[in-house]
Amino acid sequence: MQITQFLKLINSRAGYVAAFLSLLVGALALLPPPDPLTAKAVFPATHALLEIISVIIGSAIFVLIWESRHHRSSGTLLLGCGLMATVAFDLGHLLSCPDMPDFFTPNSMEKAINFWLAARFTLTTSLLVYALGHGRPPLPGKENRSSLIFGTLGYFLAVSAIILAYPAIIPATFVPGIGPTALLIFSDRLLLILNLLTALLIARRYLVKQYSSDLWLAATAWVLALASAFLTIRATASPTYALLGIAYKIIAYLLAYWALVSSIIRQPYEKLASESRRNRTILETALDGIHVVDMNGRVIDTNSAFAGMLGYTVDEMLKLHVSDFEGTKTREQVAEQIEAIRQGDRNTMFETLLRHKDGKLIEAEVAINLAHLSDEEFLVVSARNITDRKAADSLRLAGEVFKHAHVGLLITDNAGTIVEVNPVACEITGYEYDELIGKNPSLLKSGQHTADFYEEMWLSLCNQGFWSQEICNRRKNGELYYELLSITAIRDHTGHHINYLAVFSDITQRKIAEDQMRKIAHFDALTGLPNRLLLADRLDQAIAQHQRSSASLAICFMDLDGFKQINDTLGHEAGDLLLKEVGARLQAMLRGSDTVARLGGDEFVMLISGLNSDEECIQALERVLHSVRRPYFLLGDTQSEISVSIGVTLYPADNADADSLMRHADHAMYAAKQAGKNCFQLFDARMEQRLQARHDTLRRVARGLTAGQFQLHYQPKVDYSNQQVIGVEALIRWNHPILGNLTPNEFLPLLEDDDLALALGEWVFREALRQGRQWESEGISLCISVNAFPRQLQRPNFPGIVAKAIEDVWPEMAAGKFMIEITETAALRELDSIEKTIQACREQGVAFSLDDFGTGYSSLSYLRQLTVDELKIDQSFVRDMLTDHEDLSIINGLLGLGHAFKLKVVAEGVESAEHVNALLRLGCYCMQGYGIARPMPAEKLVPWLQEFSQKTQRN
Amino acid sequence: MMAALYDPIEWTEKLMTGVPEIDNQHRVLVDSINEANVRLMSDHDIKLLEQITKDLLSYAIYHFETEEDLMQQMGYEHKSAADAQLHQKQHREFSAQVIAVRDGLRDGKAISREDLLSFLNGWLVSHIMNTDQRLGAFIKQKRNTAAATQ
Repeated sequence: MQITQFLKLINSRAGYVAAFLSLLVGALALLPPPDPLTAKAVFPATHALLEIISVIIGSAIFVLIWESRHHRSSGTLLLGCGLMATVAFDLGHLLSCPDMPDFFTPNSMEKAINFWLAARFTLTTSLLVYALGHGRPPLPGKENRSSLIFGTLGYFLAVSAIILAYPAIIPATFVPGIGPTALLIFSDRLLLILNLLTALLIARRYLVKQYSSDLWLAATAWVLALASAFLTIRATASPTYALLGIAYKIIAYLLAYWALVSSIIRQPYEKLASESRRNRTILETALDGIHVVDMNGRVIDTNSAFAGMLGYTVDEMLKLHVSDFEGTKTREQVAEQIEAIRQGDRNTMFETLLRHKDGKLIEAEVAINLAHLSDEEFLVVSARNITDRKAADSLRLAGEVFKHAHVGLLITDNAGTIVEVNPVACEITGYEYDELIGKNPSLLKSGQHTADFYEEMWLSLCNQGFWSQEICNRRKNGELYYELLSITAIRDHTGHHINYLAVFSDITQRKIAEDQMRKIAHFDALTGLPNRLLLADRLDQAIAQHQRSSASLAICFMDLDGFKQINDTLGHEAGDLLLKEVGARLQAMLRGSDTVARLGGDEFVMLISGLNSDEECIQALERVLHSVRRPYFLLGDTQSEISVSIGVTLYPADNADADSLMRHADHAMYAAKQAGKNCFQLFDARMEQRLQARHDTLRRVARGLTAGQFQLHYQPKVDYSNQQVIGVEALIRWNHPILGNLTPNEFLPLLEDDDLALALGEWVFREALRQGRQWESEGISLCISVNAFPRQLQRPNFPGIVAKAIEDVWPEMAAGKFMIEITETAALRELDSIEKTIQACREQGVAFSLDDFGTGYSSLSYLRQLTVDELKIDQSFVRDMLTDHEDLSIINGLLGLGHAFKLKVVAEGVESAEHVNALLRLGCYCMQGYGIARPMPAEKLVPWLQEFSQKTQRN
Repeated sequence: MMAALYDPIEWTEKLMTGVPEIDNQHRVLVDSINEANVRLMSDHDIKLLEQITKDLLSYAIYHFETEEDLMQQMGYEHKSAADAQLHQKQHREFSAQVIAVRDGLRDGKAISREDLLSFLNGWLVSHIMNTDQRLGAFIKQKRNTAAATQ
């Protein structure tokens, strides 16, 4: 035994007791013995008292051991039996003392000492056996341990019988008058040694096995040794030492009691408590919410994990019923379920919803175990919060979706820093994953969008939390691409944006296809210039650009002058080439920001932006006029020329919308045409008003036409060579509902440039034909001449229209009964095509007259080219012929021309008899004028003809 | 003295009749004549003169129709048959004059700028300031009565 181990033994409660008692023995050995006489006087009573105490304690220990005999080790049980025997011998010793009444046999000191020795040896031997047997000597089976009591009783009776019945066979231990024998003294010393030995053995065992009861038993043996020491050393000196020995024995018993209580009673309880603590710890350490529920559904125990899961304290939990936190079942349903489990329902593991104290539902997985304890049944329930697992499941699923989605996905934090992208996003943008993470999506910016565009995006994200657009971005390799991008703001529970999710797909291919479609839809196929649709777009953009600008935008409406003629004379192919060339020339003059578009036909529109002055605009337009006027070489070497009329309006001075701007430019173009073509006109508001007036007037003409407000008057043409009426000229009148009768002079010029002239002209033809047919049916045969608008004559199908009118109105008309008068100026303008028209109409039996003759060039060359039947000398020459010799000689010349070409010549504007006579003198016999007859309605013509006929007959 | 002829007609209160549609149209007429004045200063060819007369006639007919329509609607001839006839007569005269000028131009008898402008200015100003003022007063009174009885 090493010193440290010894110290360890001392350093315990048992050790302190043993050490203290040892020191006390030492101290008493040094003190002078107390007065023997006093001791002797109190000895018998004190002795008896102490012995009785020791008997009681010893009995108690035995009872304690005996009652737990089935749970004790054999050593302890044997020790208990030994102790019982010892107690019995001690009782025998007390009863055998000389100062006590006789006990079976006469009492004596020796008899008392013999019992005393029996007691001491029995106890010492028991302890030694315990110490040597390592606490587990061989003993009968636990069931038969009751027999031990009989063994013990037998041993006691046997020894007691020898002491009582056969004292002679026992060696003498005390001789009255002499004192203890050597044997007794030896016995005492032997007991001392044996007890010390026992103490050491048990102490050693304690060091090995660490049973705390062993430590106390070692102390017991040690204190017993000390008790022997009192008797051995000093018993003769004073009876006090004998009493102290008994006191030490009592202390030893108490130590044994302590040792056995510790092992028999306290230790099992401590063990139970520590096991309980351990179980509790396990329970508490468990992550699952474990709780115990009685069959009524009340919680009778819970771990704090479960309480915590539901937001209660453990104490609060213990007041709850399962239905208080079961989120899916009522109290009745809980009772039903408990009953089902009791009946053996195996469905004891399921997922359910538990209600947190704050009302929130928790997804939980629950396992219920029906447990029995004695008669009691209860449920042990283990609940696991699987909300996170569920969330993790869906998160994992989301992750998979994220990875495998066929759209680009990109997530940023609320500061716009990219925190996650999926492989498709990498593929679309051309960046590696690592190159995108931590960056701002602005690294994809293409520069194709304005700051406003992005501002609007953020505005929409802030307000609606969502934004979607087609957007142009740039890949890593610099290539532009289009994506359909939707951004959604992800909010936390307080509504703050925490992330932005961008979902996008590459629509570049689609965009390219769309662009091609747009090109087809937006460009004129012939010239490749923007068409009306794209022009509208560009105009809107240009208006937006100039809205707050000091610079002007010129909207130029252009119409080629005489394009139709080129088309008619050179063919459509040449016309198309011309349009292409004009388009190319216009395009060549423009800057990048300007637009030239073809609206169709020979109409073009130019948008010239950023003009800082009217002067700048005028210069640009002059250049355009000049450029268009340069000769064209269309087919072979044929040189063609054309000019353009341009109407211009300037925005924002003309602060109108796009449609109105176009209309204004169109009106200005009309004004340019009016002003003689090959020029440009700037739009002004008064012009608009005048045009409006013109449109109103034209509308009224159209209405008048359908309302029958127009009427033909007829003015006779007379041949004085034979006093015959050779024909009548039909002249239109407008019975204006407000202004009264209007002469053609007043309103026809307004129509000349409008398609209304075509309708009105045709009406005149048909009305004249109708009247001619009627007169013919009345037996009046007259040649009716009508005036054609130049515009009518320019129609390619004019002969067809005339033919149709004749066929419809007067199919049986004889040749020469219908005449069309063409003004010289109109005929001159398009000589070739007019001649073709004349030829075609002549085949229908229509005659032609050249009106206003003398006002144009009146040259031989063109007269040769035109196959007309009649020339009409313009009234201006006739009117002044009486006073103006020049006019007279002109008439002379014109008459000569007519005669040369064998044409009938009619003088117009004959106002008096003087005119008639003068003309007759010149050899001009055919005349027309107020002097002969005013234009008159059809019904007045017949009387006039009769009158004329009578008059000439009189002459 | 000649400068007076060249001066543009100034649109003043005195020319206003107080009938908005008539006044608006008078402004257009005045502007047209002023514009013709400016254009004839730099260019005096027959085509331009023809165009001016044609435009003028076109607008005049439109305007006359407006006025005469108002006269009929309001029963001007019942109030003053003489005035109504005079008014219409002046309109016809204007048309006839302009047509005569145009025909003259076409026949090569060019009217001088001074003559044309003095005729146009003279006619317009005197017609507006006299004949039209009387019509304007009549219409205004009619309208006020109509408004008061409503």
